Amino acid sequence: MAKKKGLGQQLLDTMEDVIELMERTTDPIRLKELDALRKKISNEAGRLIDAQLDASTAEYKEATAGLKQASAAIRDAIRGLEAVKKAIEVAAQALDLVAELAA
Amino acid sequence: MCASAMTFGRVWKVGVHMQRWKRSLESIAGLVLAIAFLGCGLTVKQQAAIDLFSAATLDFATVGRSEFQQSRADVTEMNTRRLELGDDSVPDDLAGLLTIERTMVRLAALEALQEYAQLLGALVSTTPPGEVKAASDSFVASLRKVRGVSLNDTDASTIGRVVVLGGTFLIEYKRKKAVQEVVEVAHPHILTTIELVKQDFDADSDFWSAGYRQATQDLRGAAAAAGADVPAQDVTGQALIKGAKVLATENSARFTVVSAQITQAADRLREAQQNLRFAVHSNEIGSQDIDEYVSSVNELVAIYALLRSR
Repeated sequence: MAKKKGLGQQLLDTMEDVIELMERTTDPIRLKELDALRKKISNEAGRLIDAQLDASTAEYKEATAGLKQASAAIRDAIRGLEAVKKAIEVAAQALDLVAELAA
Repeated sequence: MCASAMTFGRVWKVGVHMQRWKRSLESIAGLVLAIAFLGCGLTVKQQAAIDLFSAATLDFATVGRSEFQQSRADVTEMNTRRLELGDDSVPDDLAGLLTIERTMVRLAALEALQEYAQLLGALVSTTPPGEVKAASDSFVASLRKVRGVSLNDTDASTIGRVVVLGGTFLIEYKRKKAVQEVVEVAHPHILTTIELVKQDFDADSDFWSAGYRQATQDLRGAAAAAGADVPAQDVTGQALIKGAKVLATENSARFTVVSAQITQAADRLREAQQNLRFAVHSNEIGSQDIDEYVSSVNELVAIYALLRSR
């Protein structure tokens, strides 16, 4: 059975996707929005370092699912199948779920 | 008076004769005991296994300690680059999440492994009793600083006591008993300590590796954001961005390789510790049970030297 990633590492996966999207985005407004999102994700990831959260809770699973959706939306945006604005919204929602859990 | 003197002389001669016999008997008994205890001491193979384990664990601890320090320095450098790129989210502490407090906790775990290795090394060599006792005290003190390890007073005094016995009499039998008891009592604490080191370099865990990854991504993100503000003809600005990207990529790649090597060596160390526990009780087991660990540490040391030699 594959070992599960910590929530912080999952968040960093999403951050990596956001940065990849930043590197491909030419619209300066969207780029600033993505950079703001990157900073928020980084901040939340920082709160999860050395924290040992219970991965069996419903909230944890919800946050994990949210991050997967966010990464999928960002990947679609990278491929041009989804609007960058939409991907930012999905990622922001996932980030809220993580923030609640880490609070 | 003469008769008395002669009687005294005879008695004195008999006394001397008996004392010689007693001394001879004591010598023979001592020799028999020494031979008997010699047979009960550590075998050459066992000593070799402990020596190898000790040397490899010292190397493992040295590399681990260095990587904690170097990776923290990397993060400071990367955050400095972010400042140069105009990133307004750089933390006041340029070491970011890899704070002094977090670093000290990690170094304590590696120090405990180092002290353990040094104590075992001292026990199997002809180290003066005072130095063995000092090694024992250092090991107990360092183990008590490791987060997640709770060494009770009984275990601590057991390590101290067996070490004193082993060191004072310098009898092979006592030495073997001392090694057996130290390895046995320290076993659960050493396994916990190894696990703590391993989890920090585990790419999936939210510990040290996550802090490092966050820093590399922040630098990459800052470079991507700065790209929009720096015109193509601004050679200095473009060079700064390019340099930041290269640094983030290089650091990330190196940390991935080093982490994989450290976690692999930590796994082998755990197996070697378990084998050592059996090795000190069984005359049939020798250094071959430690070889895989030694090989893994040698590889780690070689790769680390290549990747970190600047």
